[in-house]
Amino acid sequence: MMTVIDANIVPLIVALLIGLAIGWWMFGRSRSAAATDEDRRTQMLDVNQATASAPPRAVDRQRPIRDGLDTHEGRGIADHGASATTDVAGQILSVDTHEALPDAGGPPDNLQMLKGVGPKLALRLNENGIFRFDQLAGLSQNEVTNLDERMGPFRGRIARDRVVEQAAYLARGDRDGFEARFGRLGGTA
Amino acid sequence: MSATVKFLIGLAAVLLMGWIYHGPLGNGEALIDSLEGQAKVAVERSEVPGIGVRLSRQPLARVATLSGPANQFQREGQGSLKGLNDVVGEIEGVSSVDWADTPEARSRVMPLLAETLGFLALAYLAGVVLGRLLFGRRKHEGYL
Repeated sequence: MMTVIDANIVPLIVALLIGLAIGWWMFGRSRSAAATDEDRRTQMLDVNQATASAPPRAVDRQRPIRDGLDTHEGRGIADHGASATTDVAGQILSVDTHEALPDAGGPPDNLQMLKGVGPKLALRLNENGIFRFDQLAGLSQNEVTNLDERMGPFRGRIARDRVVEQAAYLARGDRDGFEARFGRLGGTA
Repeated sequence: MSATVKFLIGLAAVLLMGWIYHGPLGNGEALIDSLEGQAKVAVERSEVPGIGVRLSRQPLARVATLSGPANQFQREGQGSLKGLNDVVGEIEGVSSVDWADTPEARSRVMPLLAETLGFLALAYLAGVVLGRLLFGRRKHEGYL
């Protein structure tokens, strides 16, 4: 096997480069989409600064949950590789490789009780069909990754602020456990 | 243009390049010639008279076919004593060894072209995935 690879090292490198070029051709547009998101984020910040009618609580803004945080959940090389492979396979096979998120059952929860979740992020979660703690708590790793991709300027926040872990406490009504781990509850139940 | 079409265009380009490199440019035959030369040297060193060895040409494959009057012991060896099968099979690059007078000879030949194109397709796929990672993923955008 290695003999075949050694004998074909030049075309193998060329094939890799062709694949890279095709990958850019297929997916390069996402970068401009990222730029659009960046513009929207800037606009949103401008709006927030201009209006400031209902600023999120200072504790939420200035004290994001930091202890044990930034685990880069879903952001490792292996995670990105797996996700990219799934995306590529989905594109090639023309199938939707992303599962639909679980439906909400019951009255909506105040997602702003979660540390790091302000009105805008809560709205964004609602736009993506997330209204209840148990929905968040029941997300699989893949679903979290998929949801995160739809978070626009808030991308990365779900993992960074351990939103799913927080929601799990609140979904089972464990306020004490929540407060012991994340601090006092924010928002109103 | 759909992503599937783009992917298939790239794949076709890679496979065409692989075929040209393997066939018209003669690299496939050169590899088989090299392996056959090593196999012949190995057989000569074994000092079993009248044994010939050739690698598959139709299609080009890394399967060595031995021929000549060799008994079971000379073919398969015994204990720590290596037979011709071992001597030729241990050459790096030879995938399997057959005898011309056995019925299963050439029944399981994997063409070198198929192997080459398979590796190229994998390299291409790795490139596409890498491209997805490099160009398709948005950077982390913190808000706080």
